[in-house]
Amino acid sequence: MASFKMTQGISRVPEDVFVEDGMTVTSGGLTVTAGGVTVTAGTTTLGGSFVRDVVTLTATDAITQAEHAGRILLMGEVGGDAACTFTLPAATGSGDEYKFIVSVVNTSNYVIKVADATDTIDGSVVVTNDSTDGGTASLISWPTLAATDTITLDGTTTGGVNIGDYVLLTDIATNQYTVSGLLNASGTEATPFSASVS
Amino acid sequence: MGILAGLINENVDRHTQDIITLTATASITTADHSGRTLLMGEVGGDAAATFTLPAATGTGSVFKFVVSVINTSNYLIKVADATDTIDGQIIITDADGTAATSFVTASTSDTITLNGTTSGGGAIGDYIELIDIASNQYSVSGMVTCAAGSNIATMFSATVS
Repeated sequence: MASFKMTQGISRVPEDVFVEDGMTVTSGGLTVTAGGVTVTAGTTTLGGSFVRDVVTLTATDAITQAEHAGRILLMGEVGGDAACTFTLPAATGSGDEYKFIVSVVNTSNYVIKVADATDTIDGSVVVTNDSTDGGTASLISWPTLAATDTITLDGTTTGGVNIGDYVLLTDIATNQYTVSGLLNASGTEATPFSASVS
Repeated sequence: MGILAGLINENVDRHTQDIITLTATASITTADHSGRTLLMGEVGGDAAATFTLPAATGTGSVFKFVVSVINTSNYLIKVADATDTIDGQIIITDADGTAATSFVTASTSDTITLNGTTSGGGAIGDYIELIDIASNQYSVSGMVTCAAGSNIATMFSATVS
């Protein structure tokens, strides 16, 4: 196939464009304003720097693939004194990752829960106990239970005490999320995991 | 540099991230370093190397530093100016056994020092991830190793403010 160089771009194309032998953008970059980019096979090589989008969650919200997957999700309830519940989409094995990071400590609970009674969360989080600023402390790990479907960070005993605390959820299969994370807790530590949906 | 301002669905065969090996003191930038795997690889492991982050503005830039050469003369990662701080924690494992603990930042923390012995960086694969989450604010997490024969010490300090 002969090469064809577009120097002025395409202003209006009603149908899909198929590129059979690769495409190189030599300047100006590539901007996608809608529809996204789908890679269905092969290796995606990130040969340059890249930046993930940041979404700040300031109140209860429904988490969706379109708006939240792969982004940095800051839990930032202004004032840190109102409950916020973030409901995950139903797990389908999409591979979507949802990384929640505490940017405002909230003693009225950040709650992350699954969409329905058939979804569960498996994994564990590592928790630092009663740390002091600039100090050291022992670690414990909370594993999930078979029925776990909810994570509660109460800003004290169950974690979320410090900015930077995080949990990472991955949609690995139908009805199944995995979880990992690194948290700080204070007082008498307690599990962040429960079953409130099932 | 690509800016991923939308959904990232990582359900593809696989993807790879670019690698940059930092062999000497360097200024870290979003354009050159964000989202890449940053190897701390001072040749010989016997000269200090300082990596200065860009000013935090809430870009979401992720800087992941991985020890590829143990350096007993210090790898330092520090913020750009006196207004930036780092919040989070780093897990450290004592190579004399299996015990692990965690160091938590102080409110003024702005510098991370891996000295190859007590404060971490004692093993290849030790890593630290910093995320620019807001103006003047980085978050940090990571896992590092205190070298055998050493006693653990915090890697966090305030040298910029």
